[in-house]
Amino acid sequence: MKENVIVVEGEVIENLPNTLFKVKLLKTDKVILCYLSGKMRKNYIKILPGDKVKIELTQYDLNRGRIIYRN
Amino acid sequence: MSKINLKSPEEIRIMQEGGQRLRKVMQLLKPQIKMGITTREIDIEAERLIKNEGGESSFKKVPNYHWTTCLCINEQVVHTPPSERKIKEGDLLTIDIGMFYQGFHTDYSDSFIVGKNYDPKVKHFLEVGKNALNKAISQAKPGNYLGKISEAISQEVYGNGYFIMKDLTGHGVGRSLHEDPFIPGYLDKPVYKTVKIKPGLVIAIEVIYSQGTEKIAYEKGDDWSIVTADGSLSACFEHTVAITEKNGFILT
Repeated sequence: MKENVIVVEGEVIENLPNTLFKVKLLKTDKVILCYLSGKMRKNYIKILPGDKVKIELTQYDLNRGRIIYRN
Repeated sequence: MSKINLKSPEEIRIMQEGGQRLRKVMQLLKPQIKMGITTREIDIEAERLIKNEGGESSFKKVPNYHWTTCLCINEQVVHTPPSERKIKEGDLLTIDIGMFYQGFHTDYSDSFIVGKNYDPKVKHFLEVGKNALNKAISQAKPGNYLGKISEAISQEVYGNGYFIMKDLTGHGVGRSLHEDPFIPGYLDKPVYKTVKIKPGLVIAIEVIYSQGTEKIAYEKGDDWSIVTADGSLSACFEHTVAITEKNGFILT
């Protein structure tokens, strides 16, 4: 079970190889590295720069995130 | 886990009375805080107000702490004894105050900016703390887990890019100022392993957070005072909350 994840919103600024993305967080303007969640990868959800996405963070590493939703 | 003291409805009623008096003390104290006043002067005034309300200072009952309030400016994190430090315009001041009333403690703290010249960033910083406390209090219901309170605090604070001070936690209150259970502002174990909230539980929920770090350092030459390790701003919001059969409500 997933515990204590922090869900925040961000905007994709760059697509990187290996389905990694650079995402700028809306609230803090911080740029973090994110990967695509397994569910989104399975269903071929395409992410382009400029997309607004929801990201899960954990308090252990706030510089990495998992994209869970494309708005 | 050691024993948690549950309070009877009668005891909660006394604590509510104490909490309301403490809130009045805070309301009277706040307008007196201006630039140039030292934190020691605020402390003396706070003690006078508490005595007027028929209570005693809680913090003086803590071993080796001889003051009524904890007054923290900017980078100072809770437990800062009053000193000769003068308050400047735009300073972020945290007042932590407790009252001992008819055998029960209540604990309350608030943070605000002194003066009108301030950084909008600081304002946002304070808004986040207030929201976090409100969300945490809304989780304080019978049948819920204490972990839900911690989770609510950490999500709001980390989600806005700030940090929880992991060494400092909320706590139960009652006949002594600090009781079990302790309520961290982050989850240290899965929610379902934390303590379940029962009617009669009285807790002080504290949101202690900072702008830049989760680490604390001890200020030089002082046994009590704590500062943030990188000198960034820190604030604290706290309310004493009682849980009844139906719901949780704020005492202070």
